[in-house]
Amino acid sequence: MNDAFEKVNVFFDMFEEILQKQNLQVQEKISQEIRSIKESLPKEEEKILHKLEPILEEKIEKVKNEVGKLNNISTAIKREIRESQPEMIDALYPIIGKLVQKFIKTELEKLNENINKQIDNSFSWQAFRREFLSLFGIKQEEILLAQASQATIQEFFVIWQNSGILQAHYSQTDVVDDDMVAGMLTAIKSFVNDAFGNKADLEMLEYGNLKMFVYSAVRFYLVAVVSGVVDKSFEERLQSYMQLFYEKHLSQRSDEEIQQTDLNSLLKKHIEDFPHYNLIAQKINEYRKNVQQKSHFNWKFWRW
Amino acid sequence: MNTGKTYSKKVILIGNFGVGKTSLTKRFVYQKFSEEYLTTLGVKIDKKVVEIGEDIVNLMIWDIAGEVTQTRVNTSYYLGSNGILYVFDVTRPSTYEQMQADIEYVQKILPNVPILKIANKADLISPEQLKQLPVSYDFLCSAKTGENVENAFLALAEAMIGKKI
Ligand SMILES: Nc1nc2c(ncn2[C@@H]2O[C@H](COP(=O)(O)OP(=O)(O)OP(=O)(O)O)[C@@H](O)[C@H]2O)c(=O)[nH]1
Ligand SMILES: [Mg+2]
Repeated sequence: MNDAFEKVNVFFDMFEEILQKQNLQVQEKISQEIRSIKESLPKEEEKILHKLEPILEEKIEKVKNEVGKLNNISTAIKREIRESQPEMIDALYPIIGKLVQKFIKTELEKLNENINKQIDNSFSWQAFRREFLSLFGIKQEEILLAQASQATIQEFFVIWQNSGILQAHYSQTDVVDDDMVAGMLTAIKSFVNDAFGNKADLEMLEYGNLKMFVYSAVRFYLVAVVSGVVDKSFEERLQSYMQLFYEKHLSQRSDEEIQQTDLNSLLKKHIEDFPHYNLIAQKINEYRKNVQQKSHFNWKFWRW
Repeated sequence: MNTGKTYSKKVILIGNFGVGKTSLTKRFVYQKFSEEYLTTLGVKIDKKVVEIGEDIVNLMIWDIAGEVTQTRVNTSYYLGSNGILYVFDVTRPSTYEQMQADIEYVQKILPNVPILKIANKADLISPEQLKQLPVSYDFLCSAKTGENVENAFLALAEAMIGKKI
């Protein structure tokens, strides 16, 4: 058998194996949750849980189906490859590497979206990722880590809307020339505005394995560069989280105040808190209410 | 110890196509020149940090694709500019005949923004020909020899941070 073919084959075997394991993990995770709910419930409420059980069963079934589908696709690709000529495989091998990465990423995105709908984010992809990489401790590890992983904010920019001048920047790596990126993003944004009229605004850009999400306000726009698997729920959370930064740190400050504020530190803290966003969503609502009340109060005071 | 301020400023280069906007930027940022003409599509952005006395100015340079008249340029590229270099080619009258109208148009969009007129390709004409030039300019430059290129950018930087022009 051809060497390249073997590699591709091994890749898919592993992939299938991991899917199987993941499947088990999902079930385990769910039953664990049920157990812990049971333990924490007072006696009389256990009845409610009995009613819930069939619903959970159904959810588990659905998840299994999703994973099964993914398995089928993988088998089909494997068959295709097996049936093609060895010299074809040699020629294709470098391309296949890329295709496979892209394929896994898209499939994971789809799968993640579905599963999120089913079980409301109740298990994480961390375990999956760890499994995947430990099995795959070869040269593509880093690429796969970036691609098949949970969505993470790599970079975050606060940019003046018109001039494209960078006001604040957060970066995991600090390899990009942030001023230049800010300028180019602004140029692209301007181009979109000009070409499609002011009604159209740039919301998302995809570049290789990175996705850039844009939140536009009046004086500023914010850009989050995200790697990994991005699903709808992540996107929505991110959008409102970006808006939160704007409301908290930018909207109520004048241009001069902003230039004198250490926005970089505020930004860093804000982004590091992002994983706990679900937990603090409540606080945000409180904060927004507070601000409304404050301005209401100010208004009365001022009139008086 | 540096007691100055740090600024970030957006500079745009505008003017007819082929006048040397890209060449001037390349000379200023990379100290390079090429005879080859690759027309700019849309806009290209470069960056250079300069020192003006104690202050540091981070220049974000927007090299915009040339058009016969500025009214044809995507105006959102202009927005938020802090300084303008209007470039023309001393060997091609068509590149400066429109200059006055162009500058008025741009000043309407960007009031109170310093603008410098750059007469480029100085290496291609003799001093006699230069005297015949029917328009005024702030700097006579050559992207090819590098003459005055840095001076022009530095003067603009000074003007942008409110120093003498
Ligand atoms: N001799 C001479 N040639 C120059 C000078 N500056 C630019 N050129 C040449 O003029 C041509 C056009 O220069 P560019 O810098 O691309 O012109 P541009 O204004 O950016 O043109 P567009 O991007 O199309 O708007 C190139 O062939 C350059 O080599 C100069 O100072 N002297
Ligand atoms: Mg050009």
